[in-house]
Amino acid sequence: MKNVRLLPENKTALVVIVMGFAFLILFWWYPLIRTFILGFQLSGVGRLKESWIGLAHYRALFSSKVFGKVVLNTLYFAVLIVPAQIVVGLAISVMIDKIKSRAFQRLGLLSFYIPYILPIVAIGILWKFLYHPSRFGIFNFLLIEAGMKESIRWLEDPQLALTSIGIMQIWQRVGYVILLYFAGLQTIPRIFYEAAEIDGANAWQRFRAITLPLLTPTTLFVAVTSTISAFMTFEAVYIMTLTAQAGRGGPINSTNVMLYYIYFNAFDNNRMGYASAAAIILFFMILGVTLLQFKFIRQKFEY
Amino acid sequence: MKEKYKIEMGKLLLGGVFFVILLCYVFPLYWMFSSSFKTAGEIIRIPPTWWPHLLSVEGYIKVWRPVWIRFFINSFIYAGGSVTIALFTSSLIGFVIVTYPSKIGTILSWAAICLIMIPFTILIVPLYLLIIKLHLLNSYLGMIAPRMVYPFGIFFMLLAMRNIPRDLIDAAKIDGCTPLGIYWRVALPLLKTSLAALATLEFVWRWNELLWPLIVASTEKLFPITVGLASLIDPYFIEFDKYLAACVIVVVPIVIMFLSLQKFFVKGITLTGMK
Repeated sequence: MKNVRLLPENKTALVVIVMGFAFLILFWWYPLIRTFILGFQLSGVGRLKESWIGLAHYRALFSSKVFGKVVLNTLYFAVLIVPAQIVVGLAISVMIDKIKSRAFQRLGLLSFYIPYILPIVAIGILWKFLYHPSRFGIFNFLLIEAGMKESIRWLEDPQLALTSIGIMQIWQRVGYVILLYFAGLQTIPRIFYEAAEIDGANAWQRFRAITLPLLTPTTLFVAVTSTISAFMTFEAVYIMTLTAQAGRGGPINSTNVMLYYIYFNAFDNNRMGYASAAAIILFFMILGVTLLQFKFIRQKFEY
Repeated sequence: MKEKYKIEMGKLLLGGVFFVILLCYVFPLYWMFSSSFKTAGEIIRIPPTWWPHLLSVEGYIKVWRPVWIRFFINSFIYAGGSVTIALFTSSLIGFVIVTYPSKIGTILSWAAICLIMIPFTILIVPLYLLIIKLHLLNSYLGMIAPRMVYPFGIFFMLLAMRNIPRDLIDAAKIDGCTPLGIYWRVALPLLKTSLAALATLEFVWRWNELLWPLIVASTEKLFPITVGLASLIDPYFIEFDKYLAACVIVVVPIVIMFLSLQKFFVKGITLTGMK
């Protein structure tokens, strides 16, 4: 690699690389750096010039009760849906893997996968209907039929609202996890299982000793991507929590998550600098959790 | 004999459990579809009816406006435009970096790879300010522009390009083929499957996206389908027959597209996930 030239020998190739740099800088690197800068500035659409205000946004964020709640909500949401997606996804993909008939296998994968390809906007409206506090909301109807006293206020109870959105997201995204695990399972040589069976290992031991460790790369990928998308939840909150009295993110900020908070401050309140500071905190949350997961999962299951 | 019978029973039981899980799983989709054909009265009847007793297209009539066709076209322009351009630029950049090695090319590949873990939506604030400055607010170009170059696509294409036999490209080079000629005639046909896989996946993601078009498009004639559907919700006056009919209108074309392209989907998921 030492003798590689600085510039490519060919002019067209050089033009492509320069254009690549131009677009990558304009639409990715510049916004990324600008977010950092805006975090220290007072900015909004219609203002003539940004003015520097140092750490004021960060001070305001860290002393804001609402923002504290928003961070906790976001973390809770990830803790709720990521492990659940992994456990449920793995269990169902193992079941599908056991199906003998190819056609049924395909049908199974497909049925679980369909919600993932539908827009959350439509899914959110549908689940708002399913969660309806009145008894025509099918979940409450079934629970009351099963003997529950009162209907559950899924989206109206501040203790429960975020969990309800989480359940919907698990339902919607688990098909993606199933497909990834299913693909991972196909790469494990059957001979490992046969050998373990001869040695007298039972089904659970085979799963623990062969399947789980060999699926580590998939688990790592699923954990990292699901956590990032859990941190970036926006659509579900935007669609499902709208009320006439209090807008979105409620009741009492119980479903207010990072990306919605950023959106709300930037585009409803025109506080671009403040929103950017929040975006930077989200950026470091993503970075931190990703690195942590790499370390943890590698240590625990690699051999 | 008895032992075998036992095993068969166990399998049957497991199969039954799986089937029940599957039914519960798809139930919400059935519920959306069947409820959309109920009358406004039947939809809120207690107890709920398991299928529409009175088949009605009331909801569809209430919700349908010619502008929905526009929403679909806009979604096509946004998703189709951004995916086509992004995959074109990604594959071209990947091709050039691998075929004409240079230090500056390596730097570009790192400049892209550093970004693959950064979600696009985290950058919306400065991107919005940039789009204003470029006078692209409320335009197709404004929606598509930031999507024109795609770090993950570049990364993906670099990997795909590495799997192409060097000899094929070298042979074309010796024959005096221009870079664009090699890209078009040699590299693209070989990258076709990876490209198709990534394209279908990306297309659905863009099609389903809400946040970025919501920010950039402010007039109804530019709304993609997701923004159109979201703008329908009126917190003062909730009409589920109307909303669910709209959901079905939005969902059916995607499902049809998915079923006809599922081969590429599965490939896309496994290719992007198996790295």
